[in-house]
Formats: sequence, structure tokens, C-alpha cells
Amino acid sequence: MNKKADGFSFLVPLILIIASLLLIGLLLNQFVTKAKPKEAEILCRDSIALRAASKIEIDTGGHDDEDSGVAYVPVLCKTIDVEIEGTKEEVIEELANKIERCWWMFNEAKFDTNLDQSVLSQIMGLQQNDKCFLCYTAAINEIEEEEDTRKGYIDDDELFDYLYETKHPKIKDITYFDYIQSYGGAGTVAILENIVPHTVYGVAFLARNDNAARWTWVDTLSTAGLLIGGTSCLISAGITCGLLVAAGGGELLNHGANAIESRKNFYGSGIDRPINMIVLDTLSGLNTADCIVGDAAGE
Amino acid sequence: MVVLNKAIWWVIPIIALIIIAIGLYGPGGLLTKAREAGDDIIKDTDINIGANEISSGTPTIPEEHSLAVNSMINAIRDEMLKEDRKDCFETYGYGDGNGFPLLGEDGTSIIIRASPGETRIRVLGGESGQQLVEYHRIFGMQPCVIAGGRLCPIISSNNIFNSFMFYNKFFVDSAFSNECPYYQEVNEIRIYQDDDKNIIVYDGIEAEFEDGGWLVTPGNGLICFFPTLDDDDYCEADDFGNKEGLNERCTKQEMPTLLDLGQITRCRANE
Repeated sequence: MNKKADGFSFLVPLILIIASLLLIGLLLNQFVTKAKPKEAEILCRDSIALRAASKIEIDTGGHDDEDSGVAYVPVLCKTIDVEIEGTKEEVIEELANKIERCWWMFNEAKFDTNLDQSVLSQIMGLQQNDKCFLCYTAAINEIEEEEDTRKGYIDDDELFDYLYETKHPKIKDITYFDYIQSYGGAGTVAILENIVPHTVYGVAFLARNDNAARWTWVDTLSTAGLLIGGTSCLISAGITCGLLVAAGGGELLNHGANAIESRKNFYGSGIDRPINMIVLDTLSGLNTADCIVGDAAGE
Repeated sequence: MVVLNKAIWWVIPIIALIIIAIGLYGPGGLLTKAREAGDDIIKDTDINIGANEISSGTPTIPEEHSLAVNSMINAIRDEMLKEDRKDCFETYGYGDGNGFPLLGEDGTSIIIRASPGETRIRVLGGESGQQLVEYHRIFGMQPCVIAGGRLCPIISSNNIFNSFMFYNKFFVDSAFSNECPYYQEVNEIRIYQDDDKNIIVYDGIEAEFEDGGWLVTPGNGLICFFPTLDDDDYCEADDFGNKEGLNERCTKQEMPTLLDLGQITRCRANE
């Protein structure tokens, strides 16, 4: 009788604690899901910071390249959908802002392994090979044409120039590009397509990946030209590509199939990606990256 | 009596608190022992709490790489883009010329990309060679290479390579290739080190880059680079030359000789 009472008195608090934790988890999930864009950005950044601050690393005496750290705070980020239209300058400004915010949400890559497996994923046996998070989907509705040009699209170089030349709105004496490259951890930007109207783009954070170096970036660079028939810039960061409009007629025909293959190499988990980066690509292009889309907490 | 009672009520708890505090916090106290035990566990198992913060500086490339890049840009801007510049040469490089030093594995890479009316030159380096270190825009320039091939109506062959046209124009007969270009316009050139040598990738085709620091302009803002091969020791473009570029003997030995003999001219000599 006594033993029965002891067991009961142990089980009830345990059940209550588990129920409370589940309730807190559900509430957090609800909060992330319903959060407005601004709140979602802040929540994401704070969860990344808290995750980094609470990470416990235990030296198990195993392999050096084995990450034995445990980050038990979930990434509370969600993909934010935006629609963009306006003049060319307005669209460029808005896209630059999204690129900057995505980097900001991930704490300027000041902490590594932001998107490592959570304890819950480990316990549940879920694999999370991707180290990529889709911060924004940006539907480009209209780009108002200017009188002096007939271009109805934004050259990737124009967006790059804006990032390179424009001062960061909040941090003194650095440009958008400086902010991503060297304000926090080392980073870079890859703009993989020109911006054309009536297309959906994605802005994603790609965490560096040095666990599975079957391919190096040099390998990828070498094959890129062959894969996409004459335009080798697809597979590189720090520069732009603009394949869609810049490619000639013949190349354009080859572009569809080859670009998919090249992207698989670029985003693939088998490649040794040595640096954190922000990628701007079409949503269909980013589909090959297997990024986390929606709620990172809920996955 | 009342005062004494009150004093006892105050003094006794205070004394008790002091005893407890000494017991817990004093040397050899319970809390100190617990903290030391915890420290020992953390020390033995090497536990770190909180991820290390990473900081990065402004990305850079080695000084000799930067000097070579800027030497190339100055040669193009100052000497090769003027209106009267046609079929003339310039050299660039670190120190005495000779082009780029070895750029390093995952080190420096130079991307030269054509845009309407201009060319953008991006120099990548820094972390894993993937960060932008320098960015230049050269208005009026369009990149080209002494490589590739095309149909040339004055020669009855479909298989004429530009290296052959270049060789015959500058090494044999200056009037030879007036009707057929000796260069190929390209959209993008990438120069970096792979294994133990610098290579050039132009529009997806890879070649070695032992250019000796030479550039040539056919005029109209075209600036041509020299992809190279080292498959034989001869500069002569027999059998219609090589599609991938000139033999490196041309750039390293024959062209300096031709310059000394006055068969080819530097662009700055036109001033």
C-alpha cells in the first residue's frame, strides 16, 4: 500500500511537469506561427542567441571533427512571406533590406552551428541534414519601368552594386556588404538570378558545412562551366550570376536542365561549404536546397 | 525586560544567520565545497557552456596579389582603353611583371565579368577565398581571350583557331588576320589557383594561365587575356593552332623577344 502511494506521488508531479512542458511548447509554437513579421524576426534572433548561450559542449575525447555540443533551445524562426512592387530602386532597396535582416536574424553568424540538430530532433531520431533556413519568400509583382531604360527586370549586378555601395541604415560607416562579410562572423552573399517581375524569390541563410567534404568548392567551380554551358558563375558566392536574362539563346535552352544540376551541387549536403552565406535565388531554385521552410521550431 | 526580550528575538536569528552563512560560504563551507566539486567535474569532463563567439576582420588578400591586380587594372585603364589603341600590348604583374603570382588554394580569385558598356572585376579572398576584397568597374572595357575558333572565309577550313590567327598576325605577317579576328569575346573570366598552378576559366572552358603578364587590345575597348597550354615546346601555331590558347612558350619567351625586336608594340608607345 505504501509502495503504491509512493509511486502515485512520484507519477503525478512527473505527468504534470511533462504536460506543462508540452503546453509551453505548444504556446511557443502558436506564438511563432502567429507572430507578425517584425515580431517573428526578433523572436528568431533571440532564439538563436539563447540557443548559442545555452549550448553545452562536452569533450568526449572522440574525433576532433565530431561536434559533441548540445543546443537544447529550439530555433524559433519562421519563413516570412512578403510581396514587393514599385520602382526599380524601391524593389532593390526592399530586397537588400531582406538580405540584411536574414543575416541579422541569425545573429550575423557570430555563433556557429546555428541550425544543428536540436535535442528533440536527436531524441526523436529525426535527421536534419540541411543547414539552410528560408528567411523570406518575396513575390515580385511589378517592377515599374523607367523612362530612360526599357528594362523590365533588375540586373543581379545592380542589386550587388546597391549592397556594395549603400551604407547600413543602423550601423555607422559600414555598407550592407561589409555588414554581412565582416561585422559578425565571416559571411558572404550569393545572388543567383536576375530579378524579374511575377516571380517568387527566396532569401535564405546557408550555414557553413564542413562535415562532409566529398566535394570542395574548387571542384564545384571547375565543373560549373561545363554544367551550365558557358556561364560558370552560378556556383559561387561573393558574386552574382544573372543567368536568366544574360544568357544567350542557345545557353538559355540548356539553362533549365543544367541549372538544376548545378544547384544540386551548390546546395548539396555533400559539398564542403566553408562559409556562412545569404543566398537570393528563385524559390524553385531554392527548392533544391532542402531548406527549412515555415516554422523551424515546428519543422 | 521588554527591551531584552526584543533584543534576544533579533540577536538570536542574526547569530544563527551568521553561523549558517559561514557554514555555507566560508572556507571549507558547504557551498564552496559544492562549487569546487562542480568545478572538478567540469574540469575533468571539459564541459563548456555557451558557444564561442566568432569575430571576423575585414577580408584581405596577400599584398603581392593586390599589387598584381592593381597593376593589371592600371594597365587597362591608363594605357589600353584610349581611342587610338589597337593591336597593341601591355604587361602587368607584381614586381617586374610576369602576371599573377600563385594565387593560393582557396586563396585569391579574380572574376572578370562583362556587363553592357563596362566590365566588373571582383577580387575574392578572405575566409576560404569566398569573400569580396576588391571591386572595380571599368567603363568601356569588354573582355576577350586569345583562344577559341571560328569560320574564317579567307581560309578554306572550318577549323581555324584564334591562336593560329594571332600567331600569324603578330609573328608572321601583320596583315594576315585583318579580315578574321584573332580573339574571342567572352562573358566571364575567372582566374584562380588549382593544385599547383594558376588556371583561367573563360565561359566554362578551363586552361592554364601562364600568361607572363601579357594583355593585348584589338581596339574598341576589347582587352584580351592569354590562356595557355604546355603540351609542347613550340610557339608556332602549326595545324591551325590550339583551341584552348597559346603555348606558354609564346607568352614567356617569344613575345618578350618580339617586343625587343619591335615587331609588337606597347600601347603606351602610341603616346
